[in-house]
Amino acid sequence: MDERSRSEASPQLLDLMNRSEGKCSEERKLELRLGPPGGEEWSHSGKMKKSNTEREESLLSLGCFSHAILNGFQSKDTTPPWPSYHNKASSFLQFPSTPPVMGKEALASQACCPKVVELQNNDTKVFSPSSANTAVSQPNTSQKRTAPAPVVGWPPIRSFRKNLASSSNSKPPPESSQHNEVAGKKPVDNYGKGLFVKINMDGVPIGRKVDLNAYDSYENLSSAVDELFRGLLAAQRDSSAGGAHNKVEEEKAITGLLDGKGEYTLVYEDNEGDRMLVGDVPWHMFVSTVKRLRVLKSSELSAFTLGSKQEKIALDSAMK
Amino acid sequence: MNYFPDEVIEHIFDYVVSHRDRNALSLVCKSWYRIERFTRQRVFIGNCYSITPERLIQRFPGLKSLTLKGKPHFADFSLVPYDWGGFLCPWIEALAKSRVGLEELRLKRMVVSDESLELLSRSFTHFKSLVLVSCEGFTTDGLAAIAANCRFLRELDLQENEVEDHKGQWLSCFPDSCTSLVSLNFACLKGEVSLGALERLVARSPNLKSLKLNRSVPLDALQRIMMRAPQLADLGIGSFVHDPDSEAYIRLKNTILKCKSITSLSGFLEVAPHCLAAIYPICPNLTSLNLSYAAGIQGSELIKLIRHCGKLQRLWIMDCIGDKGLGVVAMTCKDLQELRVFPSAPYGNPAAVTEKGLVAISMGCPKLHSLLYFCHQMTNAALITVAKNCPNFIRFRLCILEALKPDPDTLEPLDEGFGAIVQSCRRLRRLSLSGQLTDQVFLYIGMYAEQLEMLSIAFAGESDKGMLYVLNGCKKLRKLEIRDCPFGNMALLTDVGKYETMRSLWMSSCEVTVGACKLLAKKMPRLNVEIFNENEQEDCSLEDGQRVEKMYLYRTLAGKRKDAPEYVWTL
Repeated sequence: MDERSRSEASPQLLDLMNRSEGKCSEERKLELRLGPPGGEEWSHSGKMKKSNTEREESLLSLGCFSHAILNGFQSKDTTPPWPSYHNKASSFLQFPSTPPVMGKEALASQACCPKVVELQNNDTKVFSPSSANTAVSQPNTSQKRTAPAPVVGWPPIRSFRKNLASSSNSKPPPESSQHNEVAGKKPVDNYGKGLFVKINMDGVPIGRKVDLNAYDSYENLSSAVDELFRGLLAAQRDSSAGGAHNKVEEEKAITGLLDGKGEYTLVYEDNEGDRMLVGDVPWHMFVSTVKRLRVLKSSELSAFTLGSKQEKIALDSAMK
Repeated sequence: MNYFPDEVIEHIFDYVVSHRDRNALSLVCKSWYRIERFTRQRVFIGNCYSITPERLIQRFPGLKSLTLKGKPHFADFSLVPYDWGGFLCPWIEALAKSRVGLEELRLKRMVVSDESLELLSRSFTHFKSLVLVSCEGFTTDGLAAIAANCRFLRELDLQENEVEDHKGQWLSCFPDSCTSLVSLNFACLKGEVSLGALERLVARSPNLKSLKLNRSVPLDALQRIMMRAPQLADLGIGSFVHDPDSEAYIRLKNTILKCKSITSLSGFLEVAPHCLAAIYPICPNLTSLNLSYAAGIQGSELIKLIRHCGKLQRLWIMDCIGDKGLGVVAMTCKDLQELRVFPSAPYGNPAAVTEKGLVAISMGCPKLHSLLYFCHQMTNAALITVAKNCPNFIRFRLCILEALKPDPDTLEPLDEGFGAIVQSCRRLRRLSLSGQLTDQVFLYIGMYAEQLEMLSIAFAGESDKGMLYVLNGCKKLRKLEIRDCPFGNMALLTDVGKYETMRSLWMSSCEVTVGACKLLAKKMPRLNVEIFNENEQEDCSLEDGQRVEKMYLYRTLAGKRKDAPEYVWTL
């Protein structure tokens, strides 16, 4: 269905520019006139028809950009239709006009992103016309094609279900990172995407990225970290030893990341910018607040953090 | 009636069971209030913050069964930040301290800790039934406590909870003396369970009627379990992966033939293609089929399966069945009452369903009264047809995946279609809207939806009038949840008294301001007006003119709650 409508849409859009019907010039009027046009009363019945046809041309709606992040079912179309700001948008702003219709898809793609982002960040207005302005006035500049932000919580599917499609016939679904957790204004709907965070290790100049959605527990994450860095660490030791060895130094497993017993300890930075020990909170809470990971030398952790880790170990053993 | 002795009135009250009727009884006069409260055994609390546990216990000392709901519904869609609330702990603590002989606890969207579960398991000797729906905060350790300590446990039903797996052996914690299980559902658990312990448990539970396994239970274990429990009526299959030529599979097919009492089937959390034929023999007996978690089943297989299910009353399925498949459902399942069609990929699936599928269903299944339908598009004409064919809708929830999408044929908003639904379905209690909608649809809703209790709105409407139509017109409205609509202060403040007749109101990404919320809170002291300030700047103060991103208000007798996190400002 979607594919059909999308492919029909493209020729339609182009046709529009050539059609000599009134609509076209109106659109042009609207395109240039992005501030509050003033005057036009948003009367219910009168506007409907006109706005409907405009909508037809605009072919977009708020949820449409989500096509971009869809996995698996995407058409090969590289220029997916982007949402336009709908009548709803204008009424949000109390602008009686309909929003500018994007003549070019590229336009739309560029325009929608900032707008959608603003949907999430609420400033005083839901949609700012200024970004649309830039887009329209430079019709041929397809600026950075940023992936549009998905709308949080739309479509209204429980996170429990969202994980199903990606995990059928394979390992159990990863603990949902978006389950009831919207720590900030950033859209958190990670369905279909990985939750990639940077991870750096002391002594290894090159960092890696891990997809937290691929793990469902601290143990799995810890072994993944071991796998990621084991080779790099060995190579680093090798080179820092001046390459005196001909053979690559034996790769030593990186263990004890979570319990304080190893040479290295896993810490993370959370959404408040604080550095925290990995392992204290339930996995899904961790996934929702973690922003980046670090593997630090245990000896360099401050006494404070070491102290609380021991406390934790004592607590753990008491509770078991 | 007052000339009868109390015992007689009590006896009569025994026949009055529903919460609403009971509530009504208690309002008649003081003596009825008194009699009713001492004989009340089941209490439903739709918002755990509307009343304190102490007050509940004081009024109903004979309480045996408690149902509690915590977070607002939109928490299901990640709109409520972590740690908002809904903690079970204070309830269990208060109940444990009292002399209430709690036997049944049903929770929805609450935060349940292992400690609470442990306390629960130790505090009520006759505890029989625990049902947790969409809860979180606990681990398998908490389940172990329940298993180990609740000697007369009949029901442990976990539905769609986020449970951390501690790889303990919680199932093994059911003592050998536990033989009372009637219902066990652990389908939502991610970890492995001891298969031996499971099989032994099933073997010693002659009353077991409902068993729902998680994905870690393989096919051969399923077969052994079914052998031991031929009396099962409700089965949730975990893993259904096997080579169709293998002995295990053949054994399973034979075992299935013996399970004639199964009327409800669900699960298939993992499924291999071409294995479904094994269950054809039980399909003709099924009244309930839930394949909405079975992401591995293809549309064509679904259709083949459905053809065998002539008695279905309840069907939950994924949209890969397609419009054609729904046509098959319409032809086969003449008794269908409840249908839910879930999207197999949230933003699109080429074989997904449209208005055509729904129309086909409406033509073939006139008894349909509950619908949840995720689709790609909907037309006014289709909705009007559906309204004509199925006037009995109690729940009508339509989600067009693309927000704001109009009728693709006419490019009109869907006002007329939904208007037809509310006009035709006089018993409609729950409605969820989607697609492009103007204020007109709300006018229709206000005019016609007299029984409407819950309304969910997203990306709809044009002005405050829309919300006002609803608030003025729907006299029985209890829950209103709105997101991304242009409703503002005027709509919010025009009839503040209305909110005390409702359970709750949620508004997010609308046009209400802090000042209006403050004013509302001031005028209505028996409402908690909460706004969520998720701004990462620590010391931002709320200015009156600022738009509120998320507001949740609810009536309460408990006053401002003390467990709110920092970002929740109760005005």
